[in-house]
This record gives sequence, C-alpha cells and structure tokens, in this order.
Amino acid sequence: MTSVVAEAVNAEAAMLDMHFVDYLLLFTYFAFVLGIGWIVKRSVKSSKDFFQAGRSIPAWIAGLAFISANLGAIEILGFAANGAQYGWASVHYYWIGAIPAMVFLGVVMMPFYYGAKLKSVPEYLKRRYNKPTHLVNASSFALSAVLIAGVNLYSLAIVLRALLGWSLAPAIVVAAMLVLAYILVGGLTGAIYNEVMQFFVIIAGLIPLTIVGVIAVGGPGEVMDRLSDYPTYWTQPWSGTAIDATGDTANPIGDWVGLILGQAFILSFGYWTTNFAEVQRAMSAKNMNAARRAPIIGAFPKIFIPFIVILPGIIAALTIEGLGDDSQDSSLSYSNAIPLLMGEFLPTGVLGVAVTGLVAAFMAGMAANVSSFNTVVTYDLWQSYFVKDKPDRYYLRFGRWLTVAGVIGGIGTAFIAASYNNINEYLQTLFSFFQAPVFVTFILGMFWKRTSAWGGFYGLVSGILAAGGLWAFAVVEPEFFRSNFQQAMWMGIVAGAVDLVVTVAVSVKTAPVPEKQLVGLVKGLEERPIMTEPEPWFKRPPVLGGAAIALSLGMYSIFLVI
Amino acid sequence: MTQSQPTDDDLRRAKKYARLMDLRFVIASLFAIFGVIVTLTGVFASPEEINKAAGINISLWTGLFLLAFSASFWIWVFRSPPEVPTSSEVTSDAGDRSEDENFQMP
Repeated sequence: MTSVVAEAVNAEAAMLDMHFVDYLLLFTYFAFVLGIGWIVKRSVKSSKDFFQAGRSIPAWIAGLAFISANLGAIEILGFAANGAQYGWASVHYYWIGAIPAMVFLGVVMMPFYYGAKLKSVPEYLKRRYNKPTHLVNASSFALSAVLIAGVNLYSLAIVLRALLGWSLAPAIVVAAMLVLAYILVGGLTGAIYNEVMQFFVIIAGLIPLTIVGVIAVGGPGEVMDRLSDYPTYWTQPWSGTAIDATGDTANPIGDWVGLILGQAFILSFGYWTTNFAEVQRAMSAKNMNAARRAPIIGAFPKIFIPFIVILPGIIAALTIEGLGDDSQDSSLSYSNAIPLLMGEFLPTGVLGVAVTGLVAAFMAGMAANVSSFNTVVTYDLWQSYFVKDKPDRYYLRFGRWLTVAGVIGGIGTAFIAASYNNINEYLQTLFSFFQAPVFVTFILGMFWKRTSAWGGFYGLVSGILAAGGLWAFAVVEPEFFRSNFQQAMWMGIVAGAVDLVVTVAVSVKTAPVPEKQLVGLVKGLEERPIMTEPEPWFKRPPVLGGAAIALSLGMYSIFLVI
Repeated sequence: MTQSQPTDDDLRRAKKYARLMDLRFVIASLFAIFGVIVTLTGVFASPEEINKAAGINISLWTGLFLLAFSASFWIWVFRSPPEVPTSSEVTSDAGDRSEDENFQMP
C-alpha cells in the first residue's frame, strides 16, 4: 500500500546538521532505553513475564503502546509521503480505517482473546478450528514479522547513516544490537515501556515541526489557499471516488466501494484486530476491562496523528522544491518528506528531539515485530509442534535465543530491503494476501458456531489463494487498477469474499465442532459475563468506542468549512 | 525463592522499585532532562537559528512545553503514587510479584 516507503528506504537520507546538543539528547534517550531494560529485567522471572508482560500493564500504557507499535517507519515516513503525493486524500486510512477497527477490536473481539486466556492470536485458530489452520496462520505471521522488522531496521540504519556518516552495513548491525539489548533484557514489558516513551518523544518532535512548517507557509489559511492549485482530492478527500453523482474517478487512492469495504472494513479491520504485533499490546493489560479499553484509548490520539504526519507531508510538498522528483537526486523522494522538512526548519535542540523521535520510532517498530515473532514461534510453533512438555524455564530461555534469531533474521531482511527497490511495495501486497482471509476466518469463527474446523481451514487457504490470483492478474494487467492502493483494497475484498463462501460451503457439509470445545471462543457460548465488575458508564468500552468513532467521522467536517 | 519474613529494608526497596517501575516516573524524568536542554538551547539561540524556524524561537517554546509536560507527569505520580505491594506480598526478593493462579502452562 505504501509503495513510497520503498523509495525512502533506498534514498540517501537528507543530511542533517546535528550539533553537540542534538547528540546529547539522542544519547540521553539511549541511556533511558537501556535503563528501562535493566530495571524491568528484575521482574522477568517466568515465560509469562517475558512473553505476556505478566498480564500486568495498565490500560493507558497498553493503549499507547498499541498505536506506538505501529507508529514506526512505515507509518511516519509512509504517510508523510502519501501526504506529499496525494494531500488529504490519504486521511481515510485513519478516519474510516484504523479508528473504527481499533474500536471493533476493543468492543467486539477482545472479550474472546482475553477471556480465553490466549497467549497469542494464532492460538485462537488452534482452539477454534484445528492445527492445520493454526499452522498456516502462525507461520505466515512469523514470516511477515521478520520481514517488517527488516524494513524498520533498514530505516533506522538510514537515519544512523545520515547522522554519523557510517556506511550501511555497520549501521544496520549496530542498530540491531541496540534493539536486541533492550528486548533481551526486558522482554515484552521492556518493549512496551519503550514504545510508550517513544510515543511521547516522536510527538514532541513532530508537533514543533508541523507548527513551524505551517507558519513558514503563512498560516493554516495560506496552506489551504496554496492547495487550491492542486487536484481537488488534496483538500476534499472524498472527491474523485465516484461517491457523488458526477462519477468523477480522479482520486488515485481509489473508488468509494474499495475504500469503505476494502480499505476500511477488510484490510484495516484485518490488520488491527488480528495482527499479533498489535493485539499483543492490548492482551498484556491487567484485566479484561483494561484489555478492552486499551485499543479504544489508543484510538483517540490516533485520530489526530494525521495532523502531525500527513500535514507535514503536505507542507513539504509546498516548501521543498523538486520534492518527488527523485530521478536525479534520490534524497528528494516523497518518503524523505519529514527528514527534509526537519533539515529545512528545525534548529539545534528541537532537531535533536525530532531525530531522537525518529530513531526511537524505528527501534520500537522493530522491537514490536521481534517480540511478537518470538512469542508466536515459541508458543505456536515450537511448543505446539516440536518440543512439548518442557519446564517453563526452557521456554523462557528458548524465547531469549529466538530474540537473537529474530534480530539476525531482521538483519538479513534489512539487507534484502536494501537491495530491492520495491521490496516494501511487494511486502504490503503480500500482507493483503493474509490479512483479509484471516479476518473473515476469525469473524466467522467467533459469530457462527456452525463454522466447522475444516471449513475454517479451506476458507483461509482459498482466501489466500484468491488474493494471490488477483495479484498475479494485476502483474499481467498493470493498467487495470488506478494505484497499488486500489489493488490492495480489491485484493482484500475478493480474498474476504472467497474465504466467506468457501468456509460456509465446507462447513455445512462437514461435522460442526463440538460445543464443549467452543466455550469462551464463540458468541453465545461465553464462559461467564464479559463484565466482571461494574464500571462507571464513561469507562465502558462501547461508550468510549462510540465516542471515538463519532469524533473520527466528525473530523471530515473540517473539509466542509475550509 | 525464599519466603522469609520481610524486613523494613525489603519494604523500602519494594517502594523504591515500584516507583522505578512506574513508567510515569521514567517519562517525567526523561522529559525533565530534555526540557532543560532544549529550553537552554532556546535561551542561547542565535538569530540565524530563529530565522531558520520561520522567525519563531521554536527551541525555547518546545523546551518550555516539555518542562510543563514533565511537571504534569510529576504531579500525576505525586497525586496517585504507584501501588506498592502490601507487606504480606513482599518477600526478601523485592522485585517478585505474586503468581497468578489462573495461569497454567498447557
């Protein structure tokens, strides 16, 4: 989806004029990161502490870690790039995509994940369906986690290279060692604590950048005036999606059916509700209500992230001459919008904060992938299929070694990311192979108790194959879709529909799963009421979630008044 | 793990540890340091640096906001201190937590 990221990753990063003070800020942050690992290490006593943070994290921390795990290279560089290339048309990913999906996770799905005391998301498929379904999901997740870890690591190495003038290979290895050190000592708690700290640092860097950028252009009114020279979708995100009577289809992001059904419902819901790197953060919360509130608490700040990610991209389009013309100078690629803007407007001091925020974001993104990778491989692959019935200590040690393996794997995939121009584009497309079918298989499993074990398996596999078929078609007919975005949306829709049809068809022909096995996993067969203790109305997940969705959709009204 | 009777020293260590483990405390400390460094940079900012940022002394403003943010977290920690394990839960190993009986390895 964010093909532009690939350019960033391969471009020469903008040279940043860092002074002593800026390095001082960066190294202070590193000291805190390792300090957190060292403090947290003392409380890591069992595999549960290491992999599930002992299920002791308060809701607000889990909620911020939830959005922070995703606020890595792909989102910060990618969505600034989209802003620089398409303007406000890129905002749909947030307001109809991520926010409703996070609310859906908290209100509808978390009771099953948390209530069934799952250690991972793939484990749900093992208990609800069968081992083959579980194996397909756990392996594809583990593979994708290592691939994304590599992309984050590579982005981090690019920043280190721009700062210190190192060549790429040592930058990648040093960056990897830093991430390794802090996951290894602190486990999931260490990773989560660092994610929350990183969240505040990146915000503290991006807000001044945006404010200075807007003022440099001449204020918010002037920004919108200057955008009137651009296509309408730059300021009116729904224009050109054929949603109105004009049938205008100029919007490169896609058509409204693809946006609402594909992007919002299938892909965003699939990503935010079944991607274990995300869900793991909410599952670490200390009780059911905290686990349900975590993604919803995360949804509120997420509504405003576009203003510090997409808006700087737009400012960069207005102020950086030649942005996007990377045929001569690769540092002018769209994905470098934020580093370029930082070099242009930020003086010493704030620059250090912003650079620290970027480095921290990429490290946290990588840590999130590695920590979810080692949980899934330890519990879902190693313990389930290879070495069962060992004492807890064994799996804790195995998980630690696996962290080393995951980081080394990330170094490998970082070099793959470095050597292919479009690796990220392919990665994003690859994920739309898996997310849509997995989401449909989860939803059918949770809400239709007749879904049989083999129905789930064949539905999942045929959904993945259907997405692959559409992808192969798009390779042969590259003109068929307006953009990679539209292609990914329709891959999601087709994969989801095929999964649905096959699952239902196979289920009615095969024996249902015995109800005894489904207790706690399927709607209507809950073990006990979801609410274990009465909560004040404003703390109830549906109330908070409804408010988040209303606020998110209400944000579109900004474009009516300006 | 030895289950000996906790001493006053253990309790004090448990309290100190609970505060160190409190993320609000960590964030407040980090932003205090960042705030001081960035504010001072702003105070001594050269005219060129102010010019670079559209005529605003952005380091000064950012530094002051970082300090205010840090202060708000300090107040939060002060007003609702981290939960410290009660004396019955504190063993001679101050960092340990009571095991969750619901958890079992499959």
